[in-house]
Amino acid sequence: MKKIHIILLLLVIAGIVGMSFFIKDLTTYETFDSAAGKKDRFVVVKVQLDKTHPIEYDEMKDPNKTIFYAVDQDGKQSKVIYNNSKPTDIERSEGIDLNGYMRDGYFECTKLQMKCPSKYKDDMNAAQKNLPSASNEKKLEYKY
Amino acid sequence: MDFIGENLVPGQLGHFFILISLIASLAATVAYFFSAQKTNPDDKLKWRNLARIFFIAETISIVSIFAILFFIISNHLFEYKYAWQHSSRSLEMKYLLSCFWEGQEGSFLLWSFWHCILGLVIMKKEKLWEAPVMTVVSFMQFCLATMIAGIAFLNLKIGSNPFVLLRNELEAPIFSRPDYLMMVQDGNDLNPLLQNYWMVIHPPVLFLGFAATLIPFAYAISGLWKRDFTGWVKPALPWALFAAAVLGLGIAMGAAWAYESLNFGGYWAWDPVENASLVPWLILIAGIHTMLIFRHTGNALRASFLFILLSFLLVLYSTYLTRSGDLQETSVHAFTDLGMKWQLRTFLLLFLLPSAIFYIQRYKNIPFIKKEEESSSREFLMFIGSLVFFLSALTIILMTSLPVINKIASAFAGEGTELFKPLAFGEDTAFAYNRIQIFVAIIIGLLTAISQYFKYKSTPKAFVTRKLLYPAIASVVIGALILAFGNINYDEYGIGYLGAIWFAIVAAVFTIIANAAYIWIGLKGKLKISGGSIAHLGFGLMLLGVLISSSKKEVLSYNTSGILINFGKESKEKPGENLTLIKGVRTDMGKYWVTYEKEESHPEKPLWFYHLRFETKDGKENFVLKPNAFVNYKGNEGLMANPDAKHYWSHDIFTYITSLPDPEKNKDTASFRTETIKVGDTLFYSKGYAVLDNINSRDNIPQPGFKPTDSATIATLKVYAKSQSLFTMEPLLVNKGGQLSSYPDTLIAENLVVQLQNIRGNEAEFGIKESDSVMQYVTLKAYNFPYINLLWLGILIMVVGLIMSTIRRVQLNRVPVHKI
Repeated sequence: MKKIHIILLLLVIAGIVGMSFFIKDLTTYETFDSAAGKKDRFVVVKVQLDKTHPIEYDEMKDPNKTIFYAVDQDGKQSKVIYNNSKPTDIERSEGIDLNGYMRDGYFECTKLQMKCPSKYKDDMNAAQKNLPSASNEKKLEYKY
Repeated sequence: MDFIGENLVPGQLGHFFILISLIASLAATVAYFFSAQKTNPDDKLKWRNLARIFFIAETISIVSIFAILFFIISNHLFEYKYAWQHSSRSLEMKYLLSCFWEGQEGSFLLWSFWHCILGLVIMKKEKLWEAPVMTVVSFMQFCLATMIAGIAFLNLKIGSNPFVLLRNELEAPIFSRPDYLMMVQDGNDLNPLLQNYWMVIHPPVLFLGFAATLIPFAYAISGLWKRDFTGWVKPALPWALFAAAVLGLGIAMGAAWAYESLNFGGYWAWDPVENASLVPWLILIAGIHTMLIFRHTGNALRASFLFILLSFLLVLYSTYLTRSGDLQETSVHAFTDLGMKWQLRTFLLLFLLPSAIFYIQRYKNIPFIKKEEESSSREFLMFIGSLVFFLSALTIILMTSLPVINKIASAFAGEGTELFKPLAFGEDTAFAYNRIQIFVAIIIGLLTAISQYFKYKSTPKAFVTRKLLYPAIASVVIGALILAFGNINYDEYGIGYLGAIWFAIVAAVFTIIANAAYIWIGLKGKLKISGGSIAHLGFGLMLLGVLISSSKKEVLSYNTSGILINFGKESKEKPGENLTLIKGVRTDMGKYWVTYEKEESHPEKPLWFYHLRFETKDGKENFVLKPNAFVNYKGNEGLMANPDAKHYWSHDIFTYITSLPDPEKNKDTASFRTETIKVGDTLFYSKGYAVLDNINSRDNIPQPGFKPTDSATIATLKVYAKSQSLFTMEPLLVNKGGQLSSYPDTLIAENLVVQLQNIRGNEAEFGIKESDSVMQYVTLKAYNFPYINLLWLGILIMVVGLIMSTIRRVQLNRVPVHKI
């Protein structure tokens, strides 16, 4: 066996060890129900924003807390606490991947990914909304 | 129906040139193929000349398509979907180019354009290899041409055409009117995140890098195809170096864009789109080193083939990843699916399968040297380095491909069965990558430092130790100093990881010093031939910049503003990184006082600049940052924020807006109630009372435009709140040449606003307002990035080094080979 083969072997083993750490830390997509069975384990839940509840975010009281309700793919609803500022455009999101932990009575979200129709505006359904209707063009007022 | 006001000529021309480009690139492929296959020199020449005509026709059509599309965008011809979707009238000239490559079609065109240019260079310069290399290039051009063809064929959509009309693509009632164009006055505009100057130059550079990886690939394929297994390396090497320089620069520009305009608070987030361009670069670097080994010793030819083939195939794979929509779940900036998934997969396979078959079939014929390399030889160390780069790239691409792996596994297990649950990244994505790559950094750092001190074939031990001794000692000393005084105590992931960071920092310092020293010790200061050392030095600086800036990045905006903080049950949470600033209120933010002073708007767009004054508590620094945000922009409710940074040579102060008040919620409906009192009198409000302490006149206040003839009056009020708190308020009344203006003071904790409206003798007239929505405020995050400039400087030096090596190799190739 050549020296280079021994080194290659060592490097590959090191790579596999590194990857096994990665694989060990991988998590799974769950629903709120199945996540409840894995309490305090980091999971990902695919949800949609429950628009019947208002999103609570008051940057004067706490700019690092957003509370909203979400419905998972089985239709189960849960309260979600996200310890960060309200994600831009969350109202318009088509789907959210919540990353975090199922706690008692709520889901503690540490990271979320949103699927937004407008992200790259290649989605024509979203773009269509920006087409003027046959009537007069609506003027938006930008004021802050 | 005849539509009014449409300009259909450019579109028709565009369609025509797309067709020409399809035919010409296919014809060039065939003609070059025959030229490469024929043995008779006359036939070869005949086919080659024909092929050249086709390739030039292809170049002309691509340039024409480019020009026409740009004409459509810059003249705001919104009857074309591309212009409507990606641009607007208010867009600045420089960003018209950016909208060009915002869409997939435009970026394919850009890619294609660079292939044309590189193809012409090869036509001009390459004598021996033109036919086989250009066969590959022309075929690639044909594949790219199908991407913008937009032909429907047996229910399959082939490509996405940039010249389609809006009315044919969208369903809307207005298209039933002949004058619909009157109503389509403006386009959808460029995504605000892309309205950044980096977005004007980053894509062209990156795509030139992608395009350049095709050339060494084409040479390698030609070598396998024509069974000239050794001859391709020499002409391919400068191309590989050029590709590495440009691709590296392109990736760095992308990182700079992310740093300046995205809000993940950094330049690198191990986002799949970033990884997808990094991985080909890493393998290309491995390939360059194995090619150098081959040029000097005859070893590592098989590895060179593998790496050079893979680097381009991974460019294609990354194209598939970023454009197919498969990455939507894990990436923040992948393209969305244009329904071309099958086409992108075919595209990848069309290059992957022939390369794999060729390589495996002819592997045995590729010459290799049986004798083992000396472990004291330069090539041995370089080969280990290449292997490390290769394996590192493999781990990154495997991790990035998780959504693809999920897809494949689900396809086998069946959707929604218990057999396979889709996998997702763990809690800390960046750390998952970092903890592997930190060891890569250590090994590569050490190897890069010492390799050049070794000679090819074999090196006497004393020689190395003698020459490396001083650089090694110097590095250990400087490394130790950085560790001792740099306060690198990033222990979030435990002591082991911190130790690895320390090691890596010393290794990076060693790389910098050893390579700088080598330019004098080894090369006697001859800069012309020290491209390699300069590139390595830059790499070391980059490594050091990455290590220090990310391990010492600190959050400045930890929430300390007293009004809030109730973490409640979740108190084990780290303090939030968002801080709310109330307009005009100086807020404590770690080392700084920050004041939200005012905002300014862009003259034509709903783009707002927030002026935030940063003052260090020791009073030494005082500057204004203006992070901006698009508010309610073109159907994007809420805000899209761009950061701003104050650059120092040693660190950046970096901030961006994360939230703005909701205007609906915050309509101020309360009005001032007027009361006139004397000094010592009391004003009442719902939650307490205020006593007028005194009234002072000032003839000098820190206000712009305040003249000596003007006067100002400050009333000092002591506010006694029911909550047992005592506050002071100081409303201001300014008299500018008889013109009175009030500067109210706001007491946030009590939702109280008091203004001094007039002074009559010893009586003062106050306006009092209590309102929940008196405040204007912004919520922000702020970071301190130390030594980020090391990173940018390192990358620049590395690119310069690579370019120097490219030039050097081109010159070497020009020298005629003398037979011995």
